[in-house]
Amino acid sequence: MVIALLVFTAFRKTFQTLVLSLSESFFTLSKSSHQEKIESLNKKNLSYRLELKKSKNLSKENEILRQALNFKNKNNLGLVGAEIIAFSPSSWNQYIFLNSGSNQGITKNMLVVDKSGNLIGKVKETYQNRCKVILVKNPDFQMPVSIDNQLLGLLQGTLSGVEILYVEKSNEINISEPVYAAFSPFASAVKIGKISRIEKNKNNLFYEIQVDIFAKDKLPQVVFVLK
Amino acid sequence: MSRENLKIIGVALLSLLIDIIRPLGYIFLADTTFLVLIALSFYNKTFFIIFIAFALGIAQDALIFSSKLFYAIEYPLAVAVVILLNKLLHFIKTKNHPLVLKALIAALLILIHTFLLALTVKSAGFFYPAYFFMQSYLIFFFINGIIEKTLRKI
Repeated sequence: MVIALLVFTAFRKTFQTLVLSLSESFFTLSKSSHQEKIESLNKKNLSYRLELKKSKNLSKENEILRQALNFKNKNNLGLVGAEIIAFSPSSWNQYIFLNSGSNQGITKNMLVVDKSGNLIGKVKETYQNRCKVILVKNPDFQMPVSIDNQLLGLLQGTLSGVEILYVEKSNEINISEPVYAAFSPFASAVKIGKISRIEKNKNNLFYEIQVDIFAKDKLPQVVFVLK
Repeated sequence: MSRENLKIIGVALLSLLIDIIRPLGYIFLADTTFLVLIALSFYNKTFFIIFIAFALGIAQDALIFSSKLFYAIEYPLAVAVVILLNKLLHFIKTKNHPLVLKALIAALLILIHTFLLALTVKSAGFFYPAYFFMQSYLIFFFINGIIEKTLRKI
């Protein structure tokens, strides 16, 4: 049994590399120079929009913090554009493979967004020229988030959607309040969704909060990794 | 290798490719590979289809990091069950309703498949498995229709 597992592990690595190479070739067959230009423009556009959002939301707060703590405001926004080259074959374990990896400066836990800046997932594993991204709806996806930049909670994927855990009932929250990424350099720039349902169970200390995410179910061909 | 077997291999590989490339992303939830294998096992009742199922199961396990030989065991078992039930329940098959037996067996297999997958996920809930089952069941008939046209019955 042990030998069988060892053989299978060796086979798995070789097979994955082969399949991902074939899949990448399939996806890039129809690529044209116009498409590269479009990708470049989309990347610039997204970069400017994220900069603007970050500035609007954080400028006042940063001014106070800078005066109080005397630290330097980091204003660099690194983006790595990447194409989706493969999906996980099972829809119960949702993740994607991108054609950029550690050689392009991607590391684990970096956020992945679409061209509108909506969160798609985060980097789970990196290889030299590829990375695996766990999607937001994957049950293994967890991330700290803030509700309207005030309350903190834990975003958890549930296959059919996402929910926020560990928000105490003593807090006031309303439907349609926006949800942002927390504890990230792009915390106030990366929007995740808005609250769609709030339940207060008598036997539970916390709310049961459902979130409608902004990212579309049909993923774009090109996504961006936030450095 | 016969022309029939080559067609079966081609169809099976195409189903795996569809699962990997996913033209519609995860809007399309069904496991195309599993549905194609069930549909094929109604036409090819030999050990060959069980071997194909095992090969595809190994391929799928190799691409899904968290599964350890789950599909390699499930797929050939599912195909074997289809072949066995098809033999045992032949009295249900009639001239006027040839799809009845297929529909019953497919429903049973897809239900078991959904149940096993739901066990592997910590927060599946009820909605997602139910939606997955319904979508898979409907798509099975579509796949079955395509396979009937491309492969001749054995």
